[in-house]
Amino acid sequence: MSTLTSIDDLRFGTAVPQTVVADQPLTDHALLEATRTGDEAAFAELVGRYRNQITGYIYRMLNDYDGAIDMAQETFVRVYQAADRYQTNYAFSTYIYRIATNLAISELRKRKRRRLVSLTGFFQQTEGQEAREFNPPDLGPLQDAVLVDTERKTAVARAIGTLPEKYRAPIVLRDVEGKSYEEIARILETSEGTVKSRISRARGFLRDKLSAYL
Amino acid sequence: MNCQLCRTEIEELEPGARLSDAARAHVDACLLCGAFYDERLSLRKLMGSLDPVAAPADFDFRLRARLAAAGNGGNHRFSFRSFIASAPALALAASFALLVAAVVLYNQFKPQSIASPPAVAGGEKAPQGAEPVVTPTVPTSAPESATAQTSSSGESAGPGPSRMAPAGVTARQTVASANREGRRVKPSDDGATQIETHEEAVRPAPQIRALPGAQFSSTSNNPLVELPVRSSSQPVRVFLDDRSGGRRSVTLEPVIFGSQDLTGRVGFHPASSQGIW
Repeated sequence: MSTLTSIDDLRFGTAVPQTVVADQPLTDHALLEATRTGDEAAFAELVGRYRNQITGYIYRMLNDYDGAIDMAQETFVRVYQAADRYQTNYAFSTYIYRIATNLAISELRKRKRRRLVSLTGFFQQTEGQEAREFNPPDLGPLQDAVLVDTERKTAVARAIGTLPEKYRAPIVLRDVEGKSYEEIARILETSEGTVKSRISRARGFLRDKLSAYL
Repeated sequence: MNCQLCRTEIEELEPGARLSDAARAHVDACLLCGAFYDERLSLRKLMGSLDPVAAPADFDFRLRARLAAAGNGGNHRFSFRSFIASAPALALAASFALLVAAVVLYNQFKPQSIASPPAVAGGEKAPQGAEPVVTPTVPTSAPESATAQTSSSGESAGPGPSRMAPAGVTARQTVASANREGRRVKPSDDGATQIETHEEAVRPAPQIRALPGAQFSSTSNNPLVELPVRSSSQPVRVFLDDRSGGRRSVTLEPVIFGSQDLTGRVGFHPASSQGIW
């Protein structure tokens, strides 16, 4: 029989292992499984884990913050409604990114059909020329570094927005979200070779558009 | 390592990873691959420099409201009444289309008796439910009762089941019907006209009986034979058999209304007592 050295060494049956399990974060699959049974807290945990990622990803796809929020919420609604049909073959992140991608591409196609007129578009020049962002004059002191950085980021976001849909999703998933080729292939439901090819083509497009910043 | 392999490795380089020694050596040696590597590295930095976008603070609240709305909508079952109420113009158009379709279908498939009420020959109509006896309107020029056989050219006039003409059907209609269906018409012993069919497995041909006072005779005031004429490319043949065993054949050329040369009388053969007209 071992000697107790501290109060922590006291073990009460299976109480200690249960406490350890409870402290461990539940996996996405476990949270979704709990969501199926009506556990709203589990679904809230899932939303908390992915809301920023999904919102950011859709924002990079649409280049529209309000639209991105709307699509992100629609993504979670779809996840919640289809929780019973979810199969744990792949990671949950792959599943939710796939839904978000489909929604974003669908929205892009809708917008292309509607030919939405952007209010800031009147102050932008045609594609291929240097675009100007409509910024109201700031009467405060200018900070060159902040200004240059903001301009560069805006140019990058706009360059991504000009990519065709089939190139936009893989390049955002790879270079912005940091996904692996395998996961991107699963999200986009295509082969890894296709993903690599599209990412290479997308980088070629971006290089041409962002040559001033390279 | 060649340039293609080196560029492939540069393209597929994981974020934060370093090139292999062979690729590193090639990049140092090859100016083009070195430029390509620097360009891709800068591009990745540019893409990675984008600020992370966060969801708004009220994201969860709005999501809950949206889920609640979707849940209410998801429980909503389709109701025809609500559909009618929500789209009255569409419902009106659909109702009108259904009405038109119903009228068209009714006109196409309504019963023949409704479409063409039976005509009464000789001003008499056969009583309903009684013996289907009608006044014959097919008198012949033969001195005695004769059998009138009508058939299309090329058809054999074999015996077949006979049937009585239904009540309310005139002889003309019955003959017309028999002609259409390829049956032959002959009077029975009691003076009625029997229509025999040569179709297989069909109902018996209607039989037309003459009224007691209406005998076929040469002294009849109306020696004309009323036969149906239909627009057909086949001539109609009428065979008249008298009781002495003689047979007469009458061939009626097809008549196409509107295109027949009635004034020229081309091919017109006057009636002959020799049996061939």
